[in-house]
Amino acid sequence: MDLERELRQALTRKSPPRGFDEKVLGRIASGEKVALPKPPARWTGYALPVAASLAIVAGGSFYFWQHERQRQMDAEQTARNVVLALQITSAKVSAVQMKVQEISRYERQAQY
Amino acid sequence: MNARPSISSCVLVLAYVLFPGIASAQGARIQMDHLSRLAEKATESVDVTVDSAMLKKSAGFLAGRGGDSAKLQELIDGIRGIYVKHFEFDAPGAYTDADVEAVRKQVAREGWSRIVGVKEKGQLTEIYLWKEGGTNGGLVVIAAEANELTVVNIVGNVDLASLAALGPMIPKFGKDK
Amino acid sequence: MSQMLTAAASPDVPVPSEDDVLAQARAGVPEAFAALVREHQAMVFGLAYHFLQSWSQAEELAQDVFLVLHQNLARIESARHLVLWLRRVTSNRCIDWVRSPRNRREVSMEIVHEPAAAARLQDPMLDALLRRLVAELPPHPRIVVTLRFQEDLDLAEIATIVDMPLNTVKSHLRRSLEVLRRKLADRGHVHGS
Repeated sequence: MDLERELRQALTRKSPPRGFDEKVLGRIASGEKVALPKPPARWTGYALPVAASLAIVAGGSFYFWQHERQRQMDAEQTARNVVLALQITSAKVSAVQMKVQEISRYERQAQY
Repeated sequence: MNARPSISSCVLVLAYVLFPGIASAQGARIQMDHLSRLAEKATESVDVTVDSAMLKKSAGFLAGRGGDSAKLQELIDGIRGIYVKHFEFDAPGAYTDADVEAVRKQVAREGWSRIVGVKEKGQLTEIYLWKEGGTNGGLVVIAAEANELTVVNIVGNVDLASLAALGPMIPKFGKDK
Repeated sequence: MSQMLTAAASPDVPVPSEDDVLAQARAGVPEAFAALVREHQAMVFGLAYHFLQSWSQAEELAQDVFLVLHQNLARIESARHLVLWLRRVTSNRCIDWVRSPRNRREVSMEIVHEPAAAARLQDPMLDALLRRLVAELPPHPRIVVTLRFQEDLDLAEIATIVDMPLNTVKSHLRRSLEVLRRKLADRGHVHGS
């Protein structure tokens, strides 16, 4: 099996359900807007430092959450790598162990 | 002529005195970077580099996921680093004797002893242990076959018997616990 | 676009180019925007579906992408830019989607060797299996694989779309293929490359 060819076959473009375009147009016609990050609005007076502080806290929390999530994903990936490495090592150690046992058995038999 | 020790070598000696584990860890660590180029020729390759910091971070993901995580954790507790290069090829001849010799030269140094060596029909498997002061400090496995090459370097105290009996310890990740 | 082209398929009516349709959409012609949606919906929905492996979530995400497009038509410079923009926005939304606590689902990445798979199996659902395995990859490698094999993009193009260094993209692809091969082997599928 050619994995890359199979992946191209498995991951072909996929048509959405019937009426997809109408649903999109319907949502547009209803005035729906999808939330986007907005540029900072103009603030005056005391509102600016308050808003700035809130933005820093919110932004900091967001980045902390993002960082934390990434850290967890990295740690999980590392754990998988550790187990994989040990599996490979175990397979080789077991194989040579069996080979040594086989040779010992053979040599014992040869003595008789 | 006076041979004055350089500042960097003094620092190094001081480091070894203050942190004897460093010397041991360095001795048990071998270089395998020269094998990385084989990945391009391989149909399948695994390249794992996990040092002690990464091992600590991953510890939480191994607990409570089925298998025998306590025994697995015990096995891992003694480990300071795991380095694996594993390649599978379509045909023989993808790697050279020199590739393997570059590894074997490192485990021919003092401190390393070969505990198992099996050679037959073009297959070579060797296991080396690093010992310092009577304590196991590392492991190297070289498994060279016609279409496959695996080199494993584990730094730290690893129990071979536990390693060989790893199967039931393996946890499951994700939904299927 | 194809419907607009069909409507214009007469010897006397020039067939609008993709850039023409885009210009009309920017000018607020609803049929033109609808044509853009129909032209690119399979690409956008496909990326979302292969990433999320959920029909309903993919549909919602894909609709969001086109709503965002409608809000940002003025920024789209050409038909070619549109394709790049759609791929980029879809990819980013996919990754944001799985990171959102509201949408997070557990992914299974088994690396346990399954002894029962030692026998060679004929799997008629190989495509479905591959899609499921791809969907189990971590988000960034998953989007790299999906862009590579759905859109047949080269790695430099993918790096531009997902705003990642080229070496990182290469690494994601290489490791993902390793993981996929191993999982397929565990399930008894033989592979040669």
